[in-house]
Amino acid sequence: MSETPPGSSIDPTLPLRAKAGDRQAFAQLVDVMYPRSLRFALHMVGNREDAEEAVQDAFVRVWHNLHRFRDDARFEPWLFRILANRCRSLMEKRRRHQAVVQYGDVPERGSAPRASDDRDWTEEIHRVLATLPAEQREAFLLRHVEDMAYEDIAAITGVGLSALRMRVKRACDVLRARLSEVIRDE
Amino acid sequence: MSDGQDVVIRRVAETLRSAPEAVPDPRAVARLLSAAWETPRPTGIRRWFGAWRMPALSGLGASAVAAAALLMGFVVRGAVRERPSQEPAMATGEFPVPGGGTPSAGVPVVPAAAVTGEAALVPTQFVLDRPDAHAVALVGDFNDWQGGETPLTRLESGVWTATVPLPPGRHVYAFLVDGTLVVADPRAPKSGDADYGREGSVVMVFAR
Amino acid sequence: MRQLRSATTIAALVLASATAAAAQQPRPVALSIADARTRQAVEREIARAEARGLPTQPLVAKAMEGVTKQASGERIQAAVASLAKRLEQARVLLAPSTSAAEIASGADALAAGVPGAALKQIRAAWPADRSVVMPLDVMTELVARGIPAKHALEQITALMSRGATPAQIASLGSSVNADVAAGLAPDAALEVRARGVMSLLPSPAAAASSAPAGVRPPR
Repeated sequence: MSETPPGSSIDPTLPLRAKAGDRQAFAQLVDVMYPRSLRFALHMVGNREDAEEAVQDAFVRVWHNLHRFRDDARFEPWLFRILANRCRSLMEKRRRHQAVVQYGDVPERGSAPRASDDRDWTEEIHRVLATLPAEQREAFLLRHVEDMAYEDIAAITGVGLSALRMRVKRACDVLRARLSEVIRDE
Repeated sequence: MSDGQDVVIRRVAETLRSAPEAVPDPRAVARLLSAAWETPRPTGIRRWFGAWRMPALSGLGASAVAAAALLMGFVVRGAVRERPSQEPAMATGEFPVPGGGTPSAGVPVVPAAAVTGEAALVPTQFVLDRPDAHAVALVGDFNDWQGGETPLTRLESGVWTATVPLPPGRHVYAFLVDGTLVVADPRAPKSGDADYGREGSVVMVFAR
Repeated sequence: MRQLRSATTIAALVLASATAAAAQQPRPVALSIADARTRQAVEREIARAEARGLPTQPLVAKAMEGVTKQASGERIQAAVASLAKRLEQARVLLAPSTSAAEIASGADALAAGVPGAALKQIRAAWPADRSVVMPLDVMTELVARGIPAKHALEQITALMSRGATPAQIASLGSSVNADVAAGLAPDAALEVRARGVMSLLPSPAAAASSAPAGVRPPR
């Protein structure tokens, strides 16, 4: 699981077969897209339970709304638009209920343990990621982790290209500023 | 500095991409499929009768309407979203189940057996580690050994997998690799095959 | 090889207000056997089985298994004919059971070397309206793992009499499989695991008092 599978790896007939009611095709779509969806949701909402819920909600909505899916459209941005929506709703719900706030308590950089191995490095990334505003985190993940084109991200988020570029830039600035030191320490 | 040339950002992206904590729990996938199929799609009843096979309605002498209602009940409950006893069985004992999450407690569901006389389907995962294969299908007594019925999906790791709702009991199966090669599951007990001399594998499916 | 058939077949049956008998005897799916002689021979075998009221889906599966395994036409015919015989034997041995799933499981058990008398005893251990698919399947599996049929039968019927659920009986088969794979002697694995399941069940007295009519008292 080292590389993001390219979006083109989805058999383009799968969404159409699923749309026609082929449950096996839908199950294949889930098998192919679930790992990336879970990864995105996990990084967005910050805990596994909520991430699985968001992904499940998203795919259930996909299944029930496939009749609206245009035959000439690409499946991946469509799925991620629904998924990103579910993640936002879930975070909003959590915020309202004050149960879990994203990654939980995020200590300030100064109090973080010294990042001397991969585990600390990963934890540190999560820590910094969690401090980003959700819309910046979302834009960053879609651009740099999911490797999507800005045009697709615009379709997913409903935000204009220049605003998106600004979100990604701000996220990168924060990550760079807070993580450069960790890399130097290694 | 452009995004693409940025060492820190590239390393962050690589780390997040390989996130081991994001390995899917096959039981969550099975729950997802069950949830998706719990309610009909807006485009009609025909969609209920998809590619999955379903158990027989043995012993039903009722009217078509009643039979259809029971069939619906079976589908709804058969693959089961929230019954702890219906967590997917693993056809292979060694495949890791990351997280090991327990299902959330839900509204008790009447077992399908109560209405059909047969036990509910149990989501069962099959796994084959075969990165060199171009196509892998599951063949067995549950799909009449038809290669086109149950394709496995290749994950990024090169592992092929399919989660199939099966009735409880003993099932004999094999993998069909690249359309012709019949391969037993290396992780499962062998089935023996006095008829054709090509051993398959055995999975015991039961509601835990 | 159980009570499965294509969903579309079920749909068609439902819409046609199928009778119980028809619901148990769907028309076999079209056999995709390239060799016409083999196909016709298999179709005749299936038609004969259908005429005798035997489940036909296991025969279809057996034929298609041969096709998938690229067996010769003769071998496919022989395998289907031999299974038809076992289905007939299983039906007699498991009477009054009539479910296709039980008869198919019984035929599998016979193929694995389970004696016919064991099928009768398993059937008798539970009331006639209770499916013995799982006990039969576990019996098959234990014998396939090299456990003497006599020992396997003793443990399974003891569990059945003590009120074990199908899932508990299945867990016995599954655990023994895992133990054998890990290198434990099959007989030893069975004894240990049967004891484990037994310990979860109510005491013999309680089981006897709460057992439904027709359940054999514990030994």
